[in-house]
Amino acid sequence: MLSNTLKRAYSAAAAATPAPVASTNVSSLTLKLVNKTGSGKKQGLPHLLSRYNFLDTESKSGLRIVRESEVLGGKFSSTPLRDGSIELKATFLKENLPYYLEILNSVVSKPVFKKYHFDEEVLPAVLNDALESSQDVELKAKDLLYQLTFKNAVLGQPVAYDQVDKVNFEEVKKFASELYQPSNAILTAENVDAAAFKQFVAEAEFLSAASKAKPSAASTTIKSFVGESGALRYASSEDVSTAAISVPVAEKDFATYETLKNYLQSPLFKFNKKVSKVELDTYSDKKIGVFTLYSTGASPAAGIKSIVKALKEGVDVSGAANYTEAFSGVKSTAKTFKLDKFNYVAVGKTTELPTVNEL
Amino acid sequence: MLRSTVLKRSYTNVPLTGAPKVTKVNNITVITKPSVSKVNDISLVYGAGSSAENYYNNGISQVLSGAFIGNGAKEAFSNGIKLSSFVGKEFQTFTASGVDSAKALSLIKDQVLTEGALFKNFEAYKQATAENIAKYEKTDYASIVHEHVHATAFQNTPLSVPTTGTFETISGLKITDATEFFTRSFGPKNLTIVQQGNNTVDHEKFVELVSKINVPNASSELVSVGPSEFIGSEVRLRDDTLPKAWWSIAIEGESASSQNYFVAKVAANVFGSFNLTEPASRKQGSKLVNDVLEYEVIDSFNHFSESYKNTGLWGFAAESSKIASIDEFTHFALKQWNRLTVSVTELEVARAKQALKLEIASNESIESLAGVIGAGAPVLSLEEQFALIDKITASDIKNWASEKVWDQDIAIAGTGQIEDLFDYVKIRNDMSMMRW
Repeated sequence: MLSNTLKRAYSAAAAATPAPVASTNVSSLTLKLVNKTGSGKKQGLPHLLSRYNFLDTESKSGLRIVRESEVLGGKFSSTPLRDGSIELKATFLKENLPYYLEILNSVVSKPVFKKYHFDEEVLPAVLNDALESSQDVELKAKDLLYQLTFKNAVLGQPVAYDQVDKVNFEEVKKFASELYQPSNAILTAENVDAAAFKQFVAEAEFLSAASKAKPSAASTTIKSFVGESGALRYASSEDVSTAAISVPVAEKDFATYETLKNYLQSPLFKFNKKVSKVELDTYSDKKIGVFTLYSTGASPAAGIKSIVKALKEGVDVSGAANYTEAFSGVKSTAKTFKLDKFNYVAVGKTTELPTVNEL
Repeated sequence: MLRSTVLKRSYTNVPLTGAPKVTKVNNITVITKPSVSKVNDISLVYGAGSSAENYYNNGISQVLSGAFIGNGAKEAFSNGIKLSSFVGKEFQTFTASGVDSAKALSLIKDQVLTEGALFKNFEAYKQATAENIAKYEKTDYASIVHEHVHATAFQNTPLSVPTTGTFETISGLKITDATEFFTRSFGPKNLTIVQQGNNTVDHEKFVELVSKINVPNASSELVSVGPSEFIGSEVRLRDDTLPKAWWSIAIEGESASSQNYFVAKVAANVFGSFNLTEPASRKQGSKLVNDVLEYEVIDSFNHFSESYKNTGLWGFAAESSKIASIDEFTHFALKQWNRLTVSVTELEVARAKQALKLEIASNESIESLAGVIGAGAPVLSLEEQFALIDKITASDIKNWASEKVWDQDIAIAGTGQIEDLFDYVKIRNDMSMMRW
């Protein structure tokens, strides 16, 4: 399945998939490999595989890719997502579209996995990522919330490789052969010429196969749980704690929660200063979402209590409609929102944070 | 020639976003700049910023920024508009972004240009700004060093005043500081009104809308900001309780309207930036990366070329947990700076030019535009900027560097565990070499 949402001049395509606001004048290509089957259950597989991207392919070495790209003016990134999907992104000067399409095509269709890369490049980078993410108190809360929400499914695990499951080089290779399939690929282009894009995609084997592949049957349903709670004692370097709640969101409610997200961070919400961050993440190609709200600070106990109380009583989110349409590209008719069941975690000085019964 | 060996095929049909339109009306400059953004930005850009402040009212611009965002927040949000404000060394922006340009403009008018609007709830915003700065002073050491290198390089001249303000100065501000600053630094003469976006109103119509606005302080005499002068010097704030070292070394760079503005920027991109933990960063072709990689003497570095009205600052900012290797990185970096004069290659320059083009095109924003406006330089389209960058050759870089980098005085700033940051003269000696 190939959705080439050209975000600049092609409004019909853009309407199908709401385009985030494009504010820069460079082109970008995003190739998302969606983990539809929930494969790669061993924690860390997507993270390790993601760090392999843009290393050697059959035709070019990783060094050559970096050096060529420097001379053309472009950058690559590869991000593992919580559902086991991987997102590859290339940002580049407009005239170099064919080169970057070819690179993305060969990275996922002709990768060469070398054992010494695993030991010398992939693992050190992965462990460094894991170290960095372990120092973020909100990310700790998020990991715990997802574990409560999705239990043992892939979505319930942290993104950064925590070394609890021992993953070896062969397993990464096998996971790549499962994930890097044309039927899992979604390519999105921003600020590119439509005709040229079509022509160049047709010449790239994997990407053109992706455009012809029929959307696979409904992916396995992901079971989610609400009403759970947890706590983690954790000493953050900035001496802060986090109290966070999350709610799994069905596809039909995405617009409502997007509006709620904007509302809660706006001056229309009475306790907006107590809200540190609100997220609406979608997974499995936008089939399931998770709404998460964090209250972080030296003593967030009172803050989270008042936020949850207000949400349980119900809030009028209609004032956020204009803003949501302009900045999230989502039209919503939602008027009120009332919080029902949710998951809750306390991370940091847990003795000073409320338990779920106190909310 | 070089490009064609890498890129077997490119295509030429690549429309960028076109030239900006500039008109002057009632002493106000009006600019319409097309961009690919679906949301339009309407912005008042005042040529003020921290260089218009002094050591006593430092931070007042930040408080006014806070007041603008806070006072208008509710109304803006309900209308689908986002307010933002940014203080630079030589400019301050008040921006409203949204789909409805007319509404955005009227909001800015109400919140900035209406008598007394910016001074509402002054004490509360002062308090909030002071708290933010107190937090910043304890966490963001890289930015602090960046301010320090300005403070020492331009000491006792306007560019030395920090854009953030300090906790002490902000805490001591009175409302009269705000009113006086507003009257003496915000007038039609130093005001530019910009609209930027993909769906902006017609330029002529926008000029007409602006012409109807009654801009305050039309008759007041604006405070004149003198030129800033560079002086080779250093400031160190050693603190061994911090986990690593942050330091920055810079020479006097180019002004924003200088002929060599882009030459200096390309020269900075010859070395670019580096992050030890990123595999792709370690594969970069820069010779400096090659020098520091084998013994991993540095965590990360970044070269910059910043340009202001009559001067600039060109150098690097680095941070490292390998505190015994600070001298090594400093030495290697400065020896590479020497190479700009004697042996920089066409390949290095070609690579730097593409990196600069990508950086400029990726970071198009009201703030980057305001930096140019505040420094009094002409606003160029992407096409014009790219054409100027394309013209630069290795010999341009060599000529520039032999005049501006080779054997020039430097400004040094550092904080954290900087025991190993050598004394001024020793580092200064690395700015030239006895052999070629």
